[in-house]
Amino acid sequence: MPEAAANTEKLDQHLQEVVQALHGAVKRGITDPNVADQAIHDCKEILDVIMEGKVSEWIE
Amino acid sequence: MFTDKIELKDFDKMDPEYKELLGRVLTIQADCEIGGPHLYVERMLPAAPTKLDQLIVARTAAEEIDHYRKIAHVAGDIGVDVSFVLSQPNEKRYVDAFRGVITTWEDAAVFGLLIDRVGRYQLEEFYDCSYLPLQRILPDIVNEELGHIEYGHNKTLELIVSGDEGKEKAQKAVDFWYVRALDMFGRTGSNRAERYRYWGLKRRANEQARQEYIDEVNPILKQMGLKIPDPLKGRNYL
Repeated sequence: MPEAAANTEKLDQHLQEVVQALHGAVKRGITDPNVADQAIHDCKEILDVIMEGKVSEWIE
Repeated sequence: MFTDKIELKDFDKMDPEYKELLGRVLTIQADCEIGGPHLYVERMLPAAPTKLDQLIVARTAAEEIDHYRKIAHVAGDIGVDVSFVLSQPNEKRYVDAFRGVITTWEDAAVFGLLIDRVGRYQLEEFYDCSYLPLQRILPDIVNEELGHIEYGHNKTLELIVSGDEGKEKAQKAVDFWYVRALDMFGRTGSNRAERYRYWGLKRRANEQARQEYIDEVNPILKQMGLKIPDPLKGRNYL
């Protein structure tokens, strides 16, 4: 078996949580228009962190 | 032609060229997956025309991040760390179409219509490929890409029917993205593409995939009442 790259599992797990959080916020916003603004705000906060790409901070 | 099917446990026994090409194609695919959100999230999440569109922009980004995650896991398992693409500046993306920022809604819509469709073609290259862990993650990814293409199609149509200005904007965006889409298939007669095919990592020559794309997308543009841009003007890879 090849040796896996360092942090493959940790990063995978972190991103899986990020994706779940985003889907959760989107679902809330679509289901209940009253919380759409908050849901968009939550998505923006999560995505801003991902777009920054500071991987070492995510997997600490 | 190499016709075996490879599992992770077989990877170490493979020819160095196979290892190199698999690592390379996974890195580029990971870069393209995360390259999309880097193009449109910053400007389009706040600027999409309705709250529902804003939420769909976020959902699309979530799906692309998840595609990145799946590709990165397959790459990581063979010792290829693709995490550097998460912080890569847009101008350093492997594929030209991802080097920039989307600043208008019409560009976001046409990006879905034309560029996500190329993304589908890229993924289809791996159908029945020799590396089974890659093959296994494809169905869900392709399914979600189909949703992005459909959304881009619908949003482009909305623009067109909204009036002359909307149609003009859509045409301008098509003029910009069409040639970039054609360039994404790479050079005609590429030696590397031939080696990918030899190792069963891709199915079609670059020019064949490009032609199939043209045959699919031109009738769609015509049906929308849009002009087909000159397929050679502004191209970098012929």
